[in-house]
Amino acid sequence: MARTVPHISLRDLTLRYRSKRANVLAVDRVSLELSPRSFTSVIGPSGCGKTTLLKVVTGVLRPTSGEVLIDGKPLATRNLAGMFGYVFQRPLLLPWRTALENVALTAEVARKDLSRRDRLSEAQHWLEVVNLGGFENKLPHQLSGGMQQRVSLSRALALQPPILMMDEPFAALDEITRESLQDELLRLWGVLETTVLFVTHSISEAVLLSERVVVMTPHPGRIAEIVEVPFRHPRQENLRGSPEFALLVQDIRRQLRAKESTQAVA
Amino acid sequence: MKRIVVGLTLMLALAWSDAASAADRVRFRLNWVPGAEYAPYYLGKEKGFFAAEGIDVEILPGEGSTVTAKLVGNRSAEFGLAGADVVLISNSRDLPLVAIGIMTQELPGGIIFPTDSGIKKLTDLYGRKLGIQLKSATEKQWRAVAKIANLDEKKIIEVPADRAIAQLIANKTIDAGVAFYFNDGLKLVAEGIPMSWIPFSESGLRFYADSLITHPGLIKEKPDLVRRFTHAFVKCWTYAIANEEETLESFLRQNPTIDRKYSALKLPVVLKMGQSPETKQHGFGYSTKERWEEMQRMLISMELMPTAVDVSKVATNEFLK
Amino acid sequence: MDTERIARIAGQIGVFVAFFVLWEVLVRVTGMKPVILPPPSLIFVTIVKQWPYLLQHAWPTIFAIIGGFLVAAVSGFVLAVGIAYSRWINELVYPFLIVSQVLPKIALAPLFLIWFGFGVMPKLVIAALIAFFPIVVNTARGLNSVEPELVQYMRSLGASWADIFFKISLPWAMPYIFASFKISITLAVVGVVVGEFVASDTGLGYVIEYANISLETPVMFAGIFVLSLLGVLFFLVILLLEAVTMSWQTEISETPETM
Repeated sequence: MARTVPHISLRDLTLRYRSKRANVLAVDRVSLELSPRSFTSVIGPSGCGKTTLLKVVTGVLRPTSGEVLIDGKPLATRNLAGMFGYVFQRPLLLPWRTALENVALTAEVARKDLSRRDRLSEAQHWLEVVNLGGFENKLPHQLSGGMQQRVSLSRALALQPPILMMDEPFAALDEITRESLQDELLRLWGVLETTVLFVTHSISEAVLLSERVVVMTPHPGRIAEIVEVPFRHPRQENLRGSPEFALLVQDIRRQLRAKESTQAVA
Repeated sequence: MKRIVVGLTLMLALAWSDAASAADRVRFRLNWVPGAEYAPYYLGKEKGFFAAEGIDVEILPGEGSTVTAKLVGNRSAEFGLAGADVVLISNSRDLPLVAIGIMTQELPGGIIFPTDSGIKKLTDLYGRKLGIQLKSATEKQWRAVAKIANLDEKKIIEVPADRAIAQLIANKTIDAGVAFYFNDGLKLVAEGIPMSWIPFSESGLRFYADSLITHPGLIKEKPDLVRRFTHAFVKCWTYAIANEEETLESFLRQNPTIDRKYSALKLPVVLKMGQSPETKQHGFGYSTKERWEEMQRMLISMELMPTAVDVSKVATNEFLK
Repeated sequence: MDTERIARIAGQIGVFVAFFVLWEVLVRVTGMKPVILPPPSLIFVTIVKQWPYLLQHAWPTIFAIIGGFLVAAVSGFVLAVGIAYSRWINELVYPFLIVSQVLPKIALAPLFLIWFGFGVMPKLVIAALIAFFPIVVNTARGLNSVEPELVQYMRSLGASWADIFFKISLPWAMPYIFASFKISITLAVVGVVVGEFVASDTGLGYVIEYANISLETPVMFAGIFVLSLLGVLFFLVILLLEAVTMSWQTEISETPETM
């Protein structure tokens, strides 16, 4: 299912909803262009609408006003099956299925035309892509947190979706595992042809991974700033420790603090 | 110091004598929920018959003769009411009980049916539907009667009815039922359905029915109490027989939720069933050894009693006077 | 079998043995009459002596328990799906559910006799009535506990309702369903016995009631013991079924480290 990777436009997206106390403005006139195969991070404190934004882009939530355009055509008119791959903060694997069967779930649901054998061999391929070859017959509870998240990533990639949505996928992992998965993601993105929209709490993670960092502020969720990350891809070995990296992270942090006073960002 | 000792001793003596002269507290366990058949006891309590004998009686509702037998046999109640057959069976199963007076001289059970059903004798039941509460005393009595009358039970359509005999007759599911006439039968009469019955007692089954029972241990320890209670028991019934109206009112006063119409129908039947030629001659509650032995013979032949017991230890008239 | 497991099972058996020994001693020491409370030794002897009679009546009870439980399971499951997925069915049905649960079935049993007649039907209905509430509640809960984000993602991939229900929701709800089965099977046993007390002339409930009325207390207890044993056996069957269908779950509790 190799699709051409489309260009995504977010035009003046606003989402309002009614909660117990009042009308909440979750997202306020957000506009953003995601060019094909780009890697964009969205950072901001809790409540800035980053997860809501993801849900609007994938069509799960409908915006109150504004639109999402895929290659110029509105989201609602398009067939979205297989357009997005989604990686959540928790692996959300089915505990009764092996790693292989979990990854095969994607094809089971979206590619019923494929035979079982084909689905499984596809799944095997994608497990190997995330370096889990040899673990395909393990049940989720037999895998570490990091490995489970890799299976989740593999499941998201299984149909080669043109757009990969990642919602704080490494937040629940320890630092060492997180760093190795970040490296793996960078490698994968370099090889596959997907657009990535990556939501995170962590400024350094955003700077490490993406070409652009979209900084959002909460109440209501608005884009405060879009920062271009000047470092080359593929990233150099010791980027994390370099002074330029630290400076950029500091800079963004300062901007965030200036824009809103109450929340602390990692 | 001496004065304190004397004072204390006096107080103790007073307290002890007070306790001794205080009424005996007695638990009297009926064998069913309160109904007009127990009206004489409620009357007696209100009129002070028990108090006059120095007894503070607590009248407790029952759940069948078997339960009362176990409670009295276990000394959880000093006195109780239970069917005479249950008294015999208990004794044969090593649960000694003594019947010290008879409340109902004939079985209240029989075949009940609407008066217009055309049933006149037992053989008229052939081809008709007969409701029976399986596993009950009445079922066993019915089988005995069927045997005595040489009935071909296969010709009668048996319908298991548990305790719903009245309802099933009312909605015509069954033509007749094995029941207590003064319970299910009169209930239907109260609802406007004239009922008739063929009593077991007129079909050869001359069992004593409800009896006043106590534990032999109590007789041994407090024979005087047993005598006094039995006297009160007799007084309740003899007064009630002579004063039906007053008994009914007293009973309804103490049990206001019970249906008046039904109770008014039941009481005269019950009072009549407490009397017999023997009671006219010897006084209320009297029983004969011969009849007890006849009962035992029947129970053994019906395989309801494993072994025979000494009837003189099971029933006595000695406390009636 | 490792020593720890053997020790555990021995402990469980030991508790029962201690209970029976205590019972036996108490009865003998207090001189309790067998008609009131028989000692375990007499009960066991009675079980052996009356085995054909007990076995003959055990079959109708077993049959009714299985039948009642199956009716409860199927109807409970169907109702649960309705409740889990339809708001208005949920709101309509729940009050009735609760009422059905708190109604005293013992009081209803004679009514059932009038409506359903004598024999198997009233037993089955009572057993099903008592047993189905836990199944409905737990199954609905299990079905609703599926991660919504995952469901949304699968939907976005084009998953049909059937896909989601059979591949994700139903297996996800299995632990809840089996938990409710364990409760329900014991309730089904109770329900059948209540029905047999009142509306049947076969079955262990009938045996118990009849022996009670005839003052054959040892037989009554023999019936109670056999019935209890039956209940335990049914429970074990459910445990076995659970272990077989959810082998992955039992493994979780056995691996030393979970993450």
